[in-house]
Amino acid sequence: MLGKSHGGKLTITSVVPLVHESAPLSPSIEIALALVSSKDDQSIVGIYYSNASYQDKSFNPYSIRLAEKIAAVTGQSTYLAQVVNWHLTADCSSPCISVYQQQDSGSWKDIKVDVDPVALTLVSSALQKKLYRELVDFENHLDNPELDFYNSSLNRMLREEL
Amino acid sequence: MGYLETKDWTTVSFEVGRKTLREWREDQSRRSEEVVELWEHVLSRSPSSLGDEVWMIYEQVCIAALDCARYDLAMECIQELDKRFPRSNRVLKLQAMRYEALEQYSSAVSLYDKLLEADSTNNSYRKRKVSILMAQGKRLDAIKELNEYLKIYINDSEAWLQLSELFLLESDFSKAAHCLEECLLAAPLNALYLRRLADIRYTQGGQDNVEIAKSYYEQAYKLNPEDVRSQYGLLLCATQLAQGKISAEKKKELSSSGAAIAEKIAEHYDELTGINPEAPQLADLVRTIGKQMDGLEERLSEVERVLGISELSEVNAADLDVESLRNSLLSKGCSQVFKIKMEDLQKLKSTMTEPNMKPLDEKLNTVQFCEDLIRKRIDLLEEWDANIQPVLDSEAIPTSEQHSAALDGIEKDLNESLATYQREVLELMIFYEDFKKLMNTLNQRVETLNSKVRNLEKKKEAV
Repeated sequence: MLGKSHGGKLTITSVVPLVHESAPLSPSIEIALALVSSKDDQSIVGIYYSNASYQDKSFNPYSIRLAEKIAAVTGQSTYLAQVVNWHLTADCSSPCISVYQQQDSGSWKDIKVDVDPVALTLVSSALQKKLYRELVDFENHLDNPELDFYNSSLNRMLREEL
Repeated sequence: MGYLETKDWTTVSFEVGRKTLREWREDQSRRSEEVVELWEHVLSRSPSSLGDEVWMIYEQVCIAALDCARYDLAMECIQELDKRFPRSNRVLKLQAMRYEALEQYSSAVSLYDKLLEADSTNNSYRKRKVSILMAQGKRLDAIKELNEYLKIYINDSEAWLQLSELFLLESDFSKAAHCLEECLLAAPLNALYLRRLADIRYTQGGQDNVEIAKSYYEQAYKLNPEDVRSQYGLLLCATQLAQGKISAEKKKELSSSGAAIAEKIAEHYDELTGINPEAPQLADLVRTIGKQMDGLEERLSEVERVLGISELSEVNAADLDVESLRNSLLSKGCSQVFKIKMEDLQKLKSTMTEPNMKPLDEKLNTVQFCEDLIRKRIDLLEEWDANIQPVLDSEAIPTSEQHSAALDGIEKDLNESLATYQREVLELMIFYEDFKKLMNTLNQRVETLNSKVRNLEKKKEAV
């Protein structure tokens, strides 16, 4: 997740999908982080992930380790966003991400997230139009470098939906 | 999702639809949503024109439908198949998979057990039972079951691969690596296994593992030079190893190979400039990484040379003990050294012990800091030289050289005499051993003769 923070509020401005396996291995993550963090404007503020199992709301140990590593390198606290699978439906009535921030004690606390209702309608229409088939993550890029893992064409399509 | 072209499958022709489904059946691609679309919008209009292929398609569509939670469509397919192939085990397996999808796990398990009774050689039923355990989140049980399965079917690479995934989810890297090695035994030239094994070894970390990973990546790269993952893997290994404790020439080798592979990746991105909008920037980034490896390595080795950390030498704790170093230098009258601030020396000590997970620009700052310290040290050494010049010019040094030559001569003589002494002692000892042996023999003869005499005397008395 990339973003900027103003005062006490953090705005997440864009995301870069990295991998689609539950136990990602170091090499692809390291390269992806190196490439993304060296890209100009925005800074990495955290990671988002989703569990493989539909009803599973547990924390993924790999995601936590990655978030802690990012916090160690950037020196700022990192945010962990989990996709709540069962809210991600075609009508999208409720926000489908929960955001957590690590406390000094080491545990992750649930924090409030402001979701624009326009975003929910956008997600719902994107799901119905099956735009998720256009989504490219870094692993797809590694298998085929022609694919753009920053998803600029998908972003354009989403903007047209607005 | 990662496919080069996303097509609208609802509008393709019948033949194209049929061909695509066949391809996906043969590749075993899991494009379930698209299969369902192709079936519903294209092929289901006239299933009879598919001929005998229709039964395989029903099976394919059934499984795809279960993947998409389209239980109605799955039921239709099962019913059609059951009509044509009544009491078929293959259809019953689909029924069991439908139970799995509906989360009716106990019905599924009992059906699989029944199927196993009827046909115990079909290993797919066992594997489906393992996947039920995985779906229920019972990872450890699944691992146990798979282990048992693999004791019987030791060559099943699919099962080994699944087991390695399960171990990865448990963060047990060494067991996961072992499973992949089993796959590799069955197919030693499979670039995918090699690369994945390299990934696991790299993730485990540590110099030995990263070196093993590098050799696997090299193999995978040889087998498939277009594989971007192995190229990136080689770059990562080269960077990692170059920071470890190795000889200067190895470092040079690593940094040049790292720079070479970075160039190859960047060239690939250059070719893709029209297709991938991010390609030029990615190419630049990779080239920067390559360049930094080269330059950084040379500067690092210069820094090491001047600081007296030569190749292969271990930096032990005593070398970094600033206090005792200071005291020993003071005792030798080297108050000059202390014109370098204590904080700088301590910062130097800390940089040597800190982990390497820092961004490149911070590392560059550290290198610059070291270079500044070295320049300061050079200035101080020049001062020292100037001070010591009068001492050098005096006569004490040539005389001491003569003395040391004389001492060397004496030492040589002593060594020679020692050697002679040792030889003589050895000869003496050998002589002593022989003498002892001789004495022993003589004593024994005397003993025998004495006993004979005693015997004779006894006989004389008896008479």
